[in-house]
Amino acid sequence: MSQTQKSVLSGTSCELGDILTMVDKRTLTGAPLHPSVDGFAKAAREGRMSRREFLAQATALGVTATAAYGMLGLAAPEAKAAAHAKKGGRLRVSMLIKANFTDARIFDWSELGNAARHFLEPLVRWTPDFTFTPYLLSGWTANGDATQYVLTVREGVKWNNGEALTASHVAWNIERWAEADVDGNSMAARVASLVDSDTNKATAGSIVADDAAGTVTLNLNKPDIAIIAGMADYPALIQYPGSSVMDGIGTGPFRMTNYEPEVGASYDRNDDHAWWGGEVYLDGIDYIDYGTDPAAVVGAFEAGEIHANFETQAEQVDTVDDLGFQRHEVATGATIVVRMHTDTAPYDNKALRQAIVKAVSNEDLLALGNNGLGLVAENHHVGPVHEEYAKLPPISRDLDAAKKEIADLGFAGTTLDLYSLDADYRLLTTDAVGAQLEEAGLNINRIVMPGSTFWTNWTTHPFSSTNWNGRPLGTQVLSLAYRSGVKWNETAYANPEFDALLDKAEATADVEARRAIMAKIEAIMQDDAIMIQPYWRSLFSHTTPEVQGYRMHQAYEHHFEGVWLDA
Amino acid sequence: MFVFAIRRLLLAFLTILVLTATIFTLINTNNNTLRTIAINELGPQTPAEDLDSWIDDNILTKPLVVRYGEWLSGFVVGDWGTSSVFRRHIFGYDSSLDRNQWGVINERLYYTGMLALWVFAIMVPLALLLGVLAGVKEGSLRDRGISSFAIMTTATPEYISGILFMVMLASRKYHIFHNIPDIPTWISTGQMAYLDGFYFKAVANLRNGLDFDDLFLPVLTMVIYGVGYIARMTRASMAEVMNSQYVRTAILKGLPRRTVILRHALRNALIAPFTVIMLQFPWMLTGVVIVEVMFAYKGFGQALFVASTNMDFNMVMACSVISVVVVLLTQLISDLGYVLLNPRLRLR
Amino acid sequence: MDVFVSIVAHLWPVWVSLALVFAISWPARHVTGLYGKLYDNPIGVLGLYICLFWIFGMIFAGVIGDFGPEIQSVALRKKGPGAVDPSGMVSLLGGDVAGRDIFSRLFYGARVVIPVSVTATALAFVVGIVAGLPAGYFGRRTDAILSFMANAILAFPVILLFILIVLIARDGPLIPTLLGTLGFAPVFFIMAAAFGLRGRAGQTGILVATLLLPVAIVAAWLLGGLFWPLGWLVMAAWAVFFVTRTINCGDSRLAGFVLVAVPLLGFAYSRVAFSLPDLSAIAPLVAGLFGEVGSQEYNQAEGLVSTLFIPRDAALNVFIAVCFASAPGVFRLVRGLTLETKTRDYVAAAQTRGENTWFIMIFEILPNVRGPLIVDAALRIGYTIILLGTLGFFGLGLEPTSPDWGTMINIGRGAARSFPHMVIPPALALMSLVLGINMLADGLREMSLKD
Repeated sequence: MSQTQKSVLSGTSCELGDILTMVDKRTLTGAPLHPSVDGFAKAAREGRMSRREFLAQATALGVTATAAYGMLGLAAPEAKAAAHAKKGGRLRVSMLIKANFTDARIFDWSELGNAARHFLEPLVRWTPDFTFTPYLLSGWTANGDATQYVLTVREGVKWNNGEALTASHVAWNIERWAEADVDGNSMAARVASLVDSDTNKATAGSIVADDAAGTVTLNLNKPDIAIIAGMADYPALIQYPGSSVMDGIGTGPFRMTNYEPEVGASYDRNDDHAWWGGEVYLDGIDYIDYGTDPAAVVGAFEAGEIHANFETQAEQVDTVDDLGFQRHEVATGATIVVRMHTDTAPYDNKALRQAIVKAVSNEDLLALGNNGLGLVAENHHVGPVHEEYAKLPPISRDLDAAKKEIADLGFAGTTLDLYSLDADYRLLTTDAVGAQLEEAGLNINRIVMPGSTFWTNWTTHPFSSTNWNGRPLGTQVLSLAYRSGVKWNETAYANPEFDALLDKAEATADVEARRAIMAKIEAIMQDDAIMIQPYWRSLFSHTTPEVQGYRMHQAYEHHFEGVWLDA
Repeated sequence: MFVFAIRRLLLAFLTILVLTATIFTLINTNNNTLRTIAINELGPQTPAEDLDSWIDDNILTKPLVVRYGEWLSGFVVGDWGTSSVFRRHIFGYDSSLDRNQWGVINERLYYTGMLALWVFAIMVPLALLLGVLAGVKEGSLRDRGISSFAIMTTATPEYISGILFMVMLASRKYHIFHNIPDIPTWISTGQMAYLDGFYFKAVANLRNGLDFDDLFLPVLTMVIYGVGYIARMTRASMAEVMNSQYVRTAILKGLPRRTVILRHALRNALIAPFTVIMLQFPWMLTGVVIVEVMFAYKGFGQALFVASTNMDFNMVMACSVISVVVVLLTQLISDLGYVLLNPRLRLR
Repeated sequence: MDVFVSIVAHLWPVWVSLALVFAISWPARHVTGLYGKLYDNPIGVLGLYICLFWIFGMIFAGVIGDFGPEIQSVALRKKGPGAVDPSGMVSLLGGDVAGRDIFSRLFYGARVVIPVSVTATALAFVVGIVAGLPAGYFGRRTDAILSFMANAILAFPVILLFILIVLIARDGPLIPTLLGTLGFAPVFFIMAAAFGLRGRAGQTGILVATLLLPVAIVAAWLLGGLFWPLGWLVMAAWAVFFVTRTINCGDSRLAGFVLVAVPLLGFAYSRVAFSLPDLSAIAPLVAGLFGEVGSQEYNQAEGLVSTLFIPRDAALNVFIAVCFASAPGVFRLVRGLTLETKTRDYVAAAQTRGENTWFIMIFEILPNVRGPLIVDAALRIGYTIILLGTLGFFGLGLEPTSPDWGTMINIGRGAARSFPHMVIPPALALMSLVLGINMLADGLREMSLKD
């Protein structure tokens, strides 16, 4: 793809909001439309694919957000009209300020990404509309089988040390992402299609930077439609070659003035630096770390200490609503599973597992465990946010039958250890499962661990709850967590039939056909009763009414360029 | 006297040595703690095998005794290491840094010191006053009232009074005074942090220095739990002195009651409470942790809690030594003070 | 108001019991000795009845509460006092975040708080007394060493101690193992010595039988693991041996005491030491002191231990933590009292009779210092309740579903601003019980001063 044309966007410094609205060509670079996009669009129009899913898929393949919306017959959401936005004021936000703030690729918390995002920026941004929009790139094109990507670096972007952002700078970052042998480098998995498994580095010749053309060409080892999505994830922030995050060298509009783990972080608008995105309204941002105690954050709201928080736990949503704050919500594919390790007695007994699943009510778990905020799920970890989701007959609690089965199997009064983390919805949901199982005649011994000990052995606890983040595709989590022998298979689930169907589903591009396979997969999973998956979570945060232009992001990302205070 | 002090000091050093060795051994021979340390470095979802290999490569490289020796030799010269939670040097002033030149412990001790200072500045005079007032007239209505108050407060630990204050003084909905403006009005004034009559903040924000609002509820909470005990001790001591032969004689001699109390009784009555007050420091340490965690006050107690729940090894060791030193020092002062204040013992 | 009336009505078994106790105690107050004299002290009596209120509340928890302690009802979630369950039952104080009835949980909570604090305090007293008596009696080097240990523990911040114990003992029962073996073996030895070695014939049997108890428990536990009746067989054999030896000792006072004390001690021992020592667990620890030991060895050792002997009861950590925190205080008190008492005539008389020193300490000195010890015990139970709440507050102590008051406060704390009904009842319950105990202790102290 040497004939990459110049992006219509490049060469101009434009308002951030304009990125979404200025483009009227169908692709970001003006390259031909990716072949599979039309099929997706058809599926979406006919309702076989969710709107959100289509937007994510299409934009990941280089379609502009406007065009993607257009294909659905919709108008793209207008970027918030900023005409009446006021300049000035510092935004105070409560967020945990974590240690390990040195190298973006090893960030292991969304909080770290947020703390860096005000001066380090990503190549691609995942918007709260679930679309992918070019950020430090002005666009990208993929070839037909998704093995070659050409990334066009946005022109006119400057580092805050005065240098211009070049294609080599971008390539330097991508090469570092591919260093799979670096401890904690989670980017390596996201760009796995670039990694040479022998050297644990990027395959020779796979990353080609052309500073003159301002392009980086990626030649993948295998087809990968998820690589652009990976570049929008929170550790994928572009650092100045050779610098540490703490050095504060970045392309973003703010300058870090203080970073102190467990205490707080501060940023000032960097007026010495011409940000490519134009003007930002806030004079500065202050993060304040109030610890993990949710009560402290409510206290901070009530004391007028903060304008916004990182996340409002579901359990606290009504409390903070009650105080008169603005609620922000985003529905996600994030969920919790209370799963059984099918290799460990007594959970190797399928009949017992079925009785356990039957003994609980997912509706009750949603109400008791997550304050009733979310969607009831159906124990197979595929949900309405996924395009290939097939609706199965609803399941319901049958306490009497469960009690009888447990007694018939000889498990009445048996003590089972039920593990969970020690906080929030995970604790409450697991407690509720325990209480419902006790009603069914089992004796539950709850074992509660802090994160530090829980996660070391999380795949091996016999019966425990785990939270999962959402993935765009339904097959993604299934293949991450339920395929025989995979690393994160916390249920030790090994069902050849399931594996075969999953392989088939992953190879099926047609959503309709995939949904038919998925219906079988879901039914198998429900029948094998390897887990209770009670609900899909929504994520919440709150702001004071004076905060404008703020949106809750599905991955907790803070985008404060367009935020202003209506004081 | 001098020999006594020297002996006590030596004993204190021995205590610190034994305790640090014990903690060092406990942490370094236990899988949970070792893995938690490894998680601090490798991230929360690291598989157990990776953690173990990291432990083998980085911690269990030398015999325990040697490692303890290394830690100790560093510690005595002021090299307390880096905190894995706070990502900073723990102790001392490092002028080579751009910011945060003071160690975590230095900074945190300052904030806790301020908290403790205010707690003692309010609690001790108040308790002594209440105790003396009650003890002077044993059995009177005033005595009954003060004693009831004192016994109530000793039954109200920080985590209870703190929550009650939070609801009554720091929540807009259940505030004891209903003239607190509701949230929309309050926000529309555009003032983010202001003190509205009897509304108090239940979270401290120390980023812009300490102010009255950061300290008020933590101090109040700690004073409430501590004041009763000292007051009761003072009362008992005062009552005993008032019943003693020499005070009775003085009163019978016709000296004004006021003079007798101020000149003769008070001094003797305050010896016992002095010891009690000094011994309140160990109790304060627990109270400080509770109060600081509850009110998000970033002091020493909160650091101790965060460090020990995350197994920040260097920090745990540093916090332990400091706590132990504080306790031992107060014990020493209390013993010395007891001897100095008590004329009968001083003459020996 | 209705709710208040209803609460009072629900507590009827408590009122009836309290009335019964009063109806029996008041007329008999002149013949019930120490207990009867308490009725002359209004504060002490009030304290006593507050304590009794909670004790009866604990006993009748099943009758008082309409709901079980862990029954969750969606309809009661966060609802204030007077909320109605679909089954028509009224939740008198409302429901907590998990839809559990707070009123019922208060009394089930007393079932956790009271027994745990009392037994934990008792444990601390056993340790404190056993160490404090010889320290005061022998003085010199014994005293120096024991006092040093006590002061060292006292110097250690309680909260750090708790966190360390909970963190370390969470999966691997290292601490209980060490305590169970190292801590309790001397207790049995001393008890046995006190009962047995009085220089009289016929009492060696008691010594042997008492010393055999830990051995019997270990054997019963191991054999019972293979085939459960074997365990009971071993214990039964020991019991027969013990009872026959004790009855034949020829001293009815001693026999009565031993028959009560030894089984109690055995129960305490089995509670603490049910995670038994495995030499393979200790070997790498010892080796690690001077040699190089990899995490693999620790893993193997602890894996072995934890799969075999993992403590099932979170309360165990609490026992240990409280014992650590309280025992040094008891030690100091007992040591001081012993120092004061050992110069008395009756002690000298016993010494000239040639009594065994441990017999003198336990049967001559200890009963004569019971006054201050009882007062201290009462205060210490109150303090232990506060400690237990502290543990719950930090989420360190018992299971999070436990209805103990500290945990209830911790769970409700996050929403206290909007839903104070979730934290205020347990807070007031804890306060009232501690207050009752303090008042009772005050009453007892005033009584002992009058004596």
